[in-house]
Amino acid sequence: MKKSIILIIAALLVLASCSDFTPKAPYEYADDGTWEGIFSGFWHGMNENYVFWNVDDTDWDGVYRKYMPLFRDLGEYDNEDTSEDAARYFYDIVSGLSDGHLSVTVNLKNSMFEGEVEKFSIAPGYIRLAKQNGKTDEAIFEAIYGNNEFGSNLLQLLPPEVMRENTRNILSYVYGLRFTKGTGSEIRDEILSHSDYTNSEGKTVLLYSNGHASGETVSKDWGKVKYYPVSDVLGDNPSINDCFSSWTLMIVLSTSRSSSDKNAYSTTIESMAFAGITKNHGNTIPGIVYTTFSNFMFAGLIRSDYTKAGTYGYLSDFHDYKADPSVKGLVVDVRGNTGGYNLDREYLFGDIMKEKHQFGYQRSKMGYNRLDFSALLPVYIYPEAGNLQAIYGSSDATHLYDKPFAVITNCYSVSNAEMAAFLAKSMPKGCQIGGTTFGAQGTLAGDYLDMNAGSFTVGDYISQVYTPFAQVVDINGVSHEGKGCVPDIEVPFNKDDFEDGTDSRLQSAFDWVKSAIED
Amino acid sequence: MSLVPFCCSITEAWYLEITRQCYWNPLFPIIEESESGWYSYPIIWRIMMRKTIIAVMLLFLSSMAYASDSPWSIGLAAGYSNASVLQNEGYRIDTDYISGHGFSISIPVRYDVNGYFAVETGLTYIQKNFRLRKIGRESTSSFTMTQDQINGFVEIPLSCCFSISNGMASATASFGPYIGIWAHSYRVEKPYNSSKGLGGEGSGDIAAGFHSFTAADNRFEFGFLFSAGMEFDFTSSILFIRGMYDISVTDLAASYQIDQVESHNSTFRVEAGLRLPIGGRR
Repeated sequence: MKKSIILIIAALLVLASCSDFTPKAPYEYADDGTWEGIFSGFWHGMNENYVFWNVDDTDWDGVYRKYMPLFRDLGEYDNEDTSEDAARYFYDIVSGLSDGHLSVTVNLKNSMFEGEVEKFSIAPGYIRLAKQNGKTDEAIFEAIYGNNEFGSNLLQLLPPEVMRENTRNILSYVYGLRFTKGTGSEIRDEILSHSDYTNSEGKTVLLYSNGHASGETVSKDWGKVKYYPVSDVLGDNPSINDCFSSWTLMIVLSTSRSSSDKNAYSTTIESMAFAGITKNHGNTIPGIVYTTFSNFMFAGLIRSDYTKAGTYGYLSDFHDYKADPSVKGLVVDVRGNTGGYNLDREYLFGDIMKEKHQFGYQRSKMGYNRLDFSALLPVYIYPEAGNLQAIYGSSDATHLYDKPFAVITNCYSVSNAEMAAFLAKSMPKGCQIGGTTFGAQGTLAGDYLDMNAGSFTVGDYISQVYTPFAQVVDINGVSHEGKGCVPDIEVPFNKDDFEDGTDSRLQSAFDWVKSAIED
Repeated sequence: MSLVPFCCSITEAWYLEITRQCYWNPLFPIIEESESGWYSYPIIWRIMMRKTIIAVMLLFLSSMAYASDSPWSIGLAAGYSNASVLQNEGYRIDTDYISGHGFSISIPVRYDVNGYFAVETGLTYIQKNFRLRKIGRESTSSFTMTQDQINGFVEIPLSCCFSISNGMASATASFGPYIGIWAHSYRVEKPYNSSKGLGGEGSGDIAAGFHSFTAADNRFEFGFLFSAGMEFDFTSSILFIRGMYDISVTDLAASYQIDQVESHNSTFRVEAGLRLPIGGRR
């Protein structure tokens, strides 16, 4: 009897765990200036603030057990000879993680130039794409180690569609618009000459529309909207006016100091958005609203008075196309779209919603431990016609809600572009066409102290761990983080055909809309 | 024979009064969000409350007609609980746990060893509710994330009791371990919503429902219980009222990671009840 009681008490004490672990901010672990401390800060920062532990296959405790002794053996951070080993360890740890947004920037002592620090950035989303393109870890590590400009070497290892299949090239190859001089990369002078409305961030919004072909300034409630001559962007044999009865194009120029000459400025085309109503031409069926845009940039441009009017002008034109009662469907092309502001979902699609429309769920981190998650919170796109009445007027675009809604994606459709795929899969008549998306579907804001999870640093040693504060999963509660959204209709990318102006993914989208209209 | 419908009508009136009041009465815990930001009881708890009140009244009335003398006694008690979570705060200085209101129902079983000492066990249902709150920042404004947990535990205590009697009244104190099972967890969560409308729609959205336990949860609880109170011996029954405190040694989460941050329940309770002797001499 006495033995039994002792055994029961012993069992209870074993079950009753007692730990006095007190969490510290990640940078505090690295105060001692050793690789062991830096790794410990990174490991704990990820342990407590990374939000994909319930979908990530990585054995994070196993990582601790394996790499802690290795980093301990590296000794002091200040020893330049340890940089490459440390870089490789971090590469091996990070490259297999699911988070598509994740980017870890380790500042390494330069082994060639004493006193200099080199940034070594590891982004598992890009590494995953390079591996899909048949590249090995060795080749990828070699491409990014010792390369301050993250991505410039790595981009060469990615599938061809990453750099080619995007809004700018779709408009160039398929519809005959031209933004550069000849075959080079220098922007046409006609475009560069317009910088009347540059905001404090060096951004200029240029608006072109075949409804204002000669270029004119239109007074609207929200300001003067200047349309530039469409000849500025037409190529030698444009087909755009053959394919669209009405179209509008927004170009965002970005001017910044040249990296080579601090006294010089350089201007690039940062973003682009296009919308139009198709007409009967070739295999295209008439009466479809088609839109393509390079990223979700509208909310940021609306914040500045200098870029707000042009942005509202574009959104107003896009809304008018959607509100045309004769249009039969919507094709949203997010190939090469790198994501951006969540609010842009409201600007772009809120006017077709009759009621708030659920497209997925958000899962947030609540506590310190890896699996301390909230329940799934439904996420919606809200009916925005009322909120945007000053811009949209009284025209109603909600008739499109029940009509075919196609989203074209590729492997470089990232973040909010993937939310467009979630939207397609949740609409009454929706379809995702093209390629599997990038697999970066979390939502970002602030840092781990502001949001209870997400981005953090490990002092100056790891200057950035860029990661979302919450997951977003699809309408069925399934996470596609690190895997991407698989299209309903998969269409392979053909580089040669695409550059010759034959866009099989776009054609498949129009074909699907046609069949969906007939159903 | 006519007592039961009479009791039912009385308790029904009590119940209606309680549920009508529970939107403002801090003694009654809360689930659905009200204007004040707290939450009102779901219907299941209201039904349980009604049945408990009926059972207590029937037990009390039946005891009036029954007298015995036995070292064993069994009873029924109900009370109010106030729980919080003990956790190392760490670097998240804007995150805290706020204690929550709940209730308890227990069936105490006691064996009187002699005039001073007794051993008590039984079965207890107790709510250990709390709110996790985080003040976050977004650009220039702040926001509040919350997670309200309505946690029900079924526990078996084993206490050593000491009492000093002065005729009819006794002062009692007890101490002992308990084991329990985390039976259910109802959660109302208001995280920061990243998907808002242009007019701010959705910023107050909540997710509510019963939590599906996973391997990350530790549903076994072990801890220690302390109590002090008064007992009144009415020949045929013993009326008691006592204050109790229990603290869990076990973590609310299963042990699944290196450097786990532990959470422990810490619960105050005030309960009143009635015990009846079971056969033999008391």
